[in-house]
Amino acid sequence: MDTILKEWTYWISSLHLNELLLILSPILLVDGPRYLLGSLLIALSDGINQCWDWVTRRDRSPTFSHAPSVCVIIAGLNEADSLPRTLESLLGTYPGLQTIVVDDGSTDEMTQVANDVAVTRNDLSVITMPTRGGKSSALNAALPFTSADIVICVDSDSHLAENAIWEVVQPFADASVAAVSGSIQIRNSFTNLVSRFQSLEYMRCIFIGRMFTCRLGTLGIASGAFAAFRREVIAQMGAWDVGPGEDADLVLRIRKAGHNVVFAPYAQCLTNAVTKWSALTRQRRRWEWAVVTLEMRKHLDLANPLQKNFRFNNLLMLMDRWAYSVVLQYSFAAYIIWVTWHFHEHTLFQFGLFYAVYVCFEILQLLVVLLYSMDRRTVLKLAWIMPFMPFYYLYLRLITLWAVTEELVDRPSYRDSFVPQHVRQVTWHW
Amino acid sequence: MPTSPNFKRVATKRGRGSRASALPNNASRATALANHAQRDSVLPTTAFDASPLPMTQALASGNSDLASGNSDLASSVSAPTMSAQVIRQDESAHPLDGPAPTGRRINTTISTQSVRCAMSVIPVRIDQTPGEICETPGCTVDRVNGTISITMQRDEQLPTRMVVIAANLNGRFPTFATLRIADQYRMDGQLRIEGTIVNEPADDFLSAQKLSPRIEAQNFSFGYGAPREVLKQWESIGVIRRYLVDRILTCPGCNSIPTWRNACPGCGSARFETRQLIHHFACAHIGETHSFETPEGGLSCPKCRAKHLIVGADFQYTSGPLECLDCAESGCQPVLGCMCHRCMHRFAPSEATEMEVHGYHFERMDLLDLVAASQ
Ligand SMILES: [Zn+2]
Ligand SMILES: [Zn+2]
Ligand SMILES: [Zn+2]
Repeated sequence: MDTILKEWTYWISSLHLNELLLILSPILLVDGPRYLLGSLLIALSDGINQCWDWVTRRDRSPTFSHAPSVCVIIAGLNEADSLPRTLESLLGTYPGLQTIVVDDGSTDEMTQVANDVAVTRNDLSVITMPTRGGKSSALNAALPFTSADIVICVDSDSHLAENAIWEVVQPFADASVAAVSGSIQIRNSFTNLVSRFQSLEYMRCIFIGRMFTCRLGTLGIASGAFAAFRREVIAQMGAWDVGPGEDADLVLRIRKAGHNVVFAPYAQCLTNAVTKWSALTRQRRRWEWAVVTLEMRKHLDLANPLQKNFRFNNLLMLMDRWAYSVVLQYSFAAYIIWVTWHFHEHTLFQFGLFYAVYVCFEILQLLVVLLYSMDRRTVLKLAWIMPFMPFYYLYLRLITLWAVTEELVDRPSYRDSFVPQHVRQVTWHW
Repeated sequence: MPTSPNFKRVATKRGRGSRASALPNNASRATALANHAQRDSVLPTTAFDASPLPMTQALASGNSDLASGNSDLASSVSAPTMSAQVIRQDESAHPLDGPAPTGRRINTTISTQSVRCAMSVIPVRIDQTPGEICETPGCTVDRVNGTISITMQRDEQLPTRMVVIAANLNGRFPTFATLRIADQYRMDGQLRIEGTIVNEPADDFLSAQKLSPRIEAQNFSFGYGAPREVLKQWESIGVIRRYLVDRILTCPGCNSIPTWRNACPGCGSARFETRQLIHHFACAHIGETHSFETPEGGLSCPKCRAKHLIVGADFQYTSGPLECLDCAESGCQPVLGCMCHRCMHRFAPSEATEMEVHGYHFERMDLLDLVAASQ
């Protein structure tokens, strides 16, 4: 082991700079900008801004000045166990907050549990769907029952952090904003390795990643676990379409209609991550199917310059998705195959070098996360799994590759049990 | 043995009769006892404990066993599968039920038997309240006629034709029977009364039907077959025992039983209309029915423009927000609300007053119990 390490460092030191850059070029040119550059750029610009504020003594501490009427929709299926805690966590968090629980044809006591709470509160109504129709129709069912300015959908197993509703409604002060994505973080970070990996991933990809895409104006998703919408805008477009991927679909349609979508990084929602590799695989496949269905088929017209509300950032957003989910994954696979095909004495050293660079990326990312995080203790407690993160991302890449391929060829998303069968049969197969 | 077949016929007939009535009777007794036992633990005073009268104290000598001694009966009856077993136990325990057990000597020539057991005789006044209690050391029972003769120390005749007799025949708790007096006369300086036990519920002023609470529609409340004051007096001397039947939520204004219905959350009125919605499966759109209607008469989705929608296959109806006809409330879900039809008060379920509904239990003694006690 020791000798291998010595040989490896010797090999690296023997390389010329241009040789080193050539070997690392796939990472530095592709993964580097995609993952790291964004984070570093926002950290840099915020750092400069803060220094400037300090110099000019300008106070930019956040104030909650915008207070529209808000309705929280909790749509769920068989969520009787988790519902009471979620309802309790919402109580008294925002003035005049209306809450609507939609039971999407549950077989457990969900309606019963919700009604028990509703008896004591007149700001809570319960809607029971006659039969299960899927999450989209459950969310849509709540819209006729509210006249609030802003509707917020929250998953029934999620827990909103302090001031989350205040934070998520602030961007609506800008009339062009029609959707705000909350920041999803993991509640059960320390359950096992799977949840630890996801916890770090969510901090990097959602917390920092969306901060960057939001500033670029290419944010194309607002996770269904915690997202806010201008009610009038979504009611006019018939709100949610049949899933899976209904959260991303609505955001894309909002963008298509010419409205803006932004990210509220400190509107945090803690959700339970899946704790099994099999469940994680199924979840990620579902997400990647949605990318193919939505960004490569259903909403392809966002890239059409002749379209009525065409905007360049919509095209950029689609191109980013195509690049990341398809081009990058296939070229990555091709590159690995190519390198393995031309196996020589230094190939393993080369892989070792890649690994080392990826770990460095991770450390830089972590520093950026630490800069912005409200919960630095959790971040630091998770830091020891950093050396393993490249393997986790490798695993996710393989899932993406698999899911995109199968959806492109076979469209398994239209067989997904996420949507009940009678709906699956009649909905459009894009 | 001329009377033997006759006696046997009577016995089996009675046996069948008691068997037929055993199930509800035993069941109600068991629940009553269970309730009584429960009440013991919840409320400090029971009818017996509270009774200051000497008669009930004397009769209730074994009263402390009441709950514990019968708890096995109560618990076994509470399970439906066990009730049959309990009846069988009763039958085997009963000397006259079923075929006469071998080895038992039965006096077949004389049909009267004497019961040596302290008894109380309580006259029933015209207004059905209890009269002055007379004590007596026992009675005689005529098995053939079914009559009971009681001799007691009393100068004048009883002013009524109905009495309640009480005796602690089983040594554990007193039982009671209503006796219709057929004849009363003075003999050897004592008063002798003869009568039959009233078995028909219609004739018995303390029948189970009259002691159980029932809804009186005109008052929107519970009442009994006898006036409450009368029942309270019989309860105070320990002849009947009060037990909890139910707890009800009543009008906070007048304690009547309200109606429960879906109501407007604003004013509690049930006069509201709900707008019907259509849920189109294919695009998950949910909108008002009129927005789906086309001039041609069919249904088409305003969101996805799908035409010729068929209920069940393409869409389903769901109920939409309400519009109240009595107030300005609209756009919400109906909530559960109450209305009192006596004072027309509308209120939320949380405002209702909780009230206890009681029944009364009469620990019934019949002729066979007396006959059994005589042997
Ligand atoms: Zn009333
Ligand atoms: Zn439709
Ligand atoms: Zn009303």
